[in-house]
Amino acid sequence: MFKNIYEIRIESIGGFGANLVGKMLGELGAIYLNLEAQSFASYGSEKRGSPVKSYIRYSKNEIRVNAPIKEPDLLAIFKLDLIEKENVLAGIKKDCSVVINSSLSFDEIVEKGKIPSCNLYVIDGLKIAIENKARLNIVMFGAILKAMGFVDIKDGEKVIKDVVGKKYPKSLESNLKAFKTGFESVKLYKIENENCVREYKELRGYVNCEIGGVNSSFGNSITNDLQGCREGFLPKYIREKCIDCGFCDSTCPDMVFQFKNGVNLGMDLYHCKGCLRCVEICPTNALVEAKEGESYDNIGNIYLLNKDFDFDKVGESGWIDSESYNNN
Amino acid sequence: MFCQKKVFLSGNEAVCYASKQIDFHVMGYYPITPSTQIAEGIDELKNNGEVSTVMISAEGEHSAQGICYGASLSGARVINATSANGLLYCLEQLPVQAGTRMPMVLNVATRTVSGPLCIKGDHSDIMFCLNTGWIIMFAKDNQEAYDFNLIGLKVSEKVKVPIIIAYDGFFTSHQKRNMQVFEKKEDVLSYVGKNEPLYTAINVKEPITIGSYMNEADVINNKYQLYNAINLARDVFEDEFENFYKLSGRKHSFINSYFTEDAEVIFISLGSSFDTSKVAVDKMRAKGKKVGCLTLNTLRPFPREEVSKRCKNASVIIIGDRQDSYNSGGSLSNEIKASFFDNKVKGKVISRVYGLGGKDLYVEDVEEFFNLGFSKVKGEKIKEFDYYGIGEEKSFKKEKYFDVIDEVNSSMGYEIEDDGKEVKVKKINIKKALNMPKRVVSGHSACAGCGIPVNLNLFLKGIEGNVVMLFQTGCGMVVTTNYPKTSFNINYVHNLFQNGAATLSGILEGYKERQRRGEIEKGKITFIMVSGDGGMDIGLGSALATAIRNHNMIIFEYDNGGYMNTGYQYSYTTPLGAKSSTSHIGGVERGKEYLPKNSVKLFEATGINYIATVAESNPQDFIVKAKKAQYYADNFGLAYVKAISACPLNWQDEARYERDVIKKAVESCYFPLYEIERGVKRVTYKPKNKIDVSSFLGAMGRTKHLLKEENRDILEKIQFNTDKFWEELNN
Repeated sequence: MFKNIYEIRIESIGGFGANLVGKMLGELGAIYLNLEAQSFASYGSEKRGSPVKSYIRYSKNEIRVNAPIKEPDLLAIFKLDLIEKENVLAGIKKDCSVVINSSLSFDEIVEKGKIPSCNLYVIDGLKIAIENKARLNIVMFGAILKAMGFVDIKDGEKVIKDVVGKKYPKSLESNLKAFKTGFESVKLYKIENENCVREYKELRGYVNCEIGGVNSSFGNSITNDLQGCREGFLPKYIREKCIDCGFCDSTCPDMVFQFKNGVNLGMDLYHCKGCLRCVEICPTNALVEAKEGESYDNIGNIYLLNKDFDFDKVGESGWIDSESYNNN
Repeated sequence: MFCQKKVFLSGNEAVCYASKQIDFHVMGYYPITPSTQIAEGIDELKNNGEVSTVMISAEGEHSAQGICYGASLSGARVINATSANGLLYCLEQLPVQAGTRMPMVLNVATRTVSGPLCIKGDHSDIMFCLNTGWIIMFAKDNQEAYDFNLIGLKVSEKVKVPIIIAYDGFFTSHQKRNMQVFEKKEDVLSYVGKNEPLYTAINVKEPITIGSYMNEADVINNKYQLYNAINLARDVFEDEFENFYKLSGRKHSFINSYFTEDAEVIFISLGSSFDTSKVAVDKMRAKGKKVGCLTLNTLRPFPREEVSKRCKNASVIIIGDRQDSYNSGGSLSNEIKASFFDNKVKGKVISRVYGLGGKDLYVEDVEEFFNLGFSKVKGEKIKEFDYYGIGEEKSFKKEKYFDVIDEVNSSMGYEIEDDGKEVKVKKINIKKALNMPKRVVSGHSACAGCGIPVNLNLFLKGIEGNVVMLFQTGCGMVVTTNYPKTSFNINYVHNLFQNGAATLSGILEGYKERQRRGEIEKGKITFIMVSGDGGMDIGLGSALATAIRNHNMIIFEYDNGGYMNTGYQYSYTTPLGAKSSTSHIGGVERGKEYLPKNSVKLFEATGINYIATVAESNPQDFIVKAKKAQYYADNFGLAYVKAISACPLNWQDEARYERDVIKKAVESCYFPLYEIERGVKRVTYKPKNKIDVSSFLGAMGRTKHLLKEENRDILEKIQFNTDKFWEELNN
């Protein structure tokens, strides 16, 4: 099984149901594996789309520590993009099992994620979820249980019956199937990548924070990359059909549309959360639903900014961020 | 021994479990993270028929505590739960209840107090309660949260003093753990016994006066009685700890200690940190270092002898304070130091303020504290007081991404015509408004499809010139100002949601007076207070009073019909019959119990010159009204504009169809578009074919059950109410 303590960290975004998986794993440990168990989440607002963490600790003895898990035995990442945007790989050791949900191949994942030595488990969770009409988190629950290695699939099924069966009896069958598929189809790869060390630095202190919690860098949320919030879909803009009516701008919660002198220059997809409100409202079908990863035009924020700004370089897709400035 | 069983619960769930077994008569509450789950949980139990507790969601914590006080005056068994600013908002009520000796249980999931706003755990709230005359217990984990709710209730009712059961917000309130509960409700009830109040306000056969007006000769006697009662609670606790031990096998006491007997260095902390520090003790002991740790289970009565006794042989005692009393040390340190002085404890004391705003405490941190202690033992110079865990980074560079929005670049050439009766806005349209610079920019963290930024964007398209905005607490401010980022391109202020309107009126009057005195340049600013419907519940009094004073400002309300920021508890504008986390369906309950508040009517009664309702489905109407509101605010005083705002997460519908859902609200006249200008009502949009409210309610997951046959009466009531109001508007 494991020596004394087994620790799991889940990295996800709000809306994917990672918190529920945390609870299910906790229940699994406490009720079915007869262990001391603990489960909790990183806390914040209730928003969809923001990064969230979930922690599960199993122990053969009384659990005392209630701090978050720095060096997990198992790390599950529900969305590959998180690796680039957040410090989700922090603290993984050589024998750590890393479960990643992605449709990419093993090589592509390693390339994209710069993942250090570990046991990498890959699963195309979204595909399995859609095929089974179940939720991604249930598929991931299956994959995680497989990667843990010491859990009987039957115990996992019992937990799903407890949790899903009680609340949504109608979808129990499909979820059980998705769970089983997740358990069975996750693939293991061994990664040897010694040179990969990721460090995290605290950027703020009592000296550089403005007095009273004031923030004088007005509008600086524009440097936030929100692409990770999307759940697989985004609008595609077809300029030829556009009549510049501005309705899209009246319905977009994220100020994605770049109008200048009444002309739509396109979309700032850096901030698009993929709600598709604009697709519904566009009177000429100049905005249509597209799948993430398909080709689309992308526009940066250079159209928004003060013309007199000094900046050295334009980031990805016409994007200017805090790295872009001439420091003189 | 009673029969027990193993369960896997969070701290809040543990409290719910105890409440289920006690079945309180009344819970008065107001949702606030991280204690809200208690009200949600008890409401669910009620829906399932497991308790019959009367659940009253007040419009704020002050009233919630008032409800509780009142209920205890009736002789009822009462529970409440709150945190942070909620606790401070009800603080005034606490000494009233203690002084008049009415027992009850108040659970506090401790959390840091604003500002700046933070919802995470520390002890800055609970320490405000030390002088209220309440008994205060502090649970270190879920098990103690459950046990203390039973023991605490009994002690409170025995000595006739209300009790607070505190535990760490999030660390304990939200962390699930294995724990034991009594299996049978009857056993629990036989332990806590009956509440036998000294007096009630409802025994009409023996009339009494509660809450006399007292002078100096008598107040001191009343306080001495209270002091004696808390002293008595000490003895009652001793008995009850023993009784509870016999029933459960769990021996509680005033303090928990771990390896303190021979310890050279002892670490004292409150709450969940204790268990973490035990691990550090084990690690240090394995290296041969003599260390120990300790925590307090009661803060009132304060276990001064017990703590002193455990610490008397130690060379150094380190006290971790999750709160500061600014230049006087943390309150826990101060109280312990006073106890040490009284009991002649000779060890040196080091205090460290740690873990503020939910900053985690790791085992390594406690080891570092112990090492500090040993350095002190060796005679090294160690600061007696310091903060632990502050950031050291010094470099700061103000970032600049946008031009400042001024009167020139935000002037769209809208024209106003005022004939003294009705204001008309000319040369305004959606396409032209596209040129308005964005005062709220991208990069905020609202959910995909959220209506709040849509409404803000539309509203601000109508507002030309300089703008200063004040947001009351709610999703709108949380998602836009997550430090160190801000989505505001203009001056922005947050204040807690009881008080936004008043605060903004202060800003604008100060601005005017400073101009008059010639201290600042003459200029013009439009002041806008933005609030959700939650802020318009708890802050209604302040907003109405500000309207009556008729300051030159706008109040803009985005109404999504619920407290969405805290996980969707119902608000006063939630539709009748809607399900929410505090109004359940499918069991005993039938969703929200009463018709939504008509806030427009309330503002109408203040006599202000301009009131309007807006909806994103009618964008032209929306921006025209925004411009009119600005004109009225500039020239005639307060204007109030209310928007219906979509919340895909809690309306339980799809983000992409939200405008259509809003359109249904408008087309059914559930949310009619109208304005009240200089006292004259005017419908600004008349649906060509008025549809039934069922098409709006059926479009949202939270209300679609109202279309079922069994809820026909609720649906009919909503339709009737909607039709009646629509008729009223058109007459």
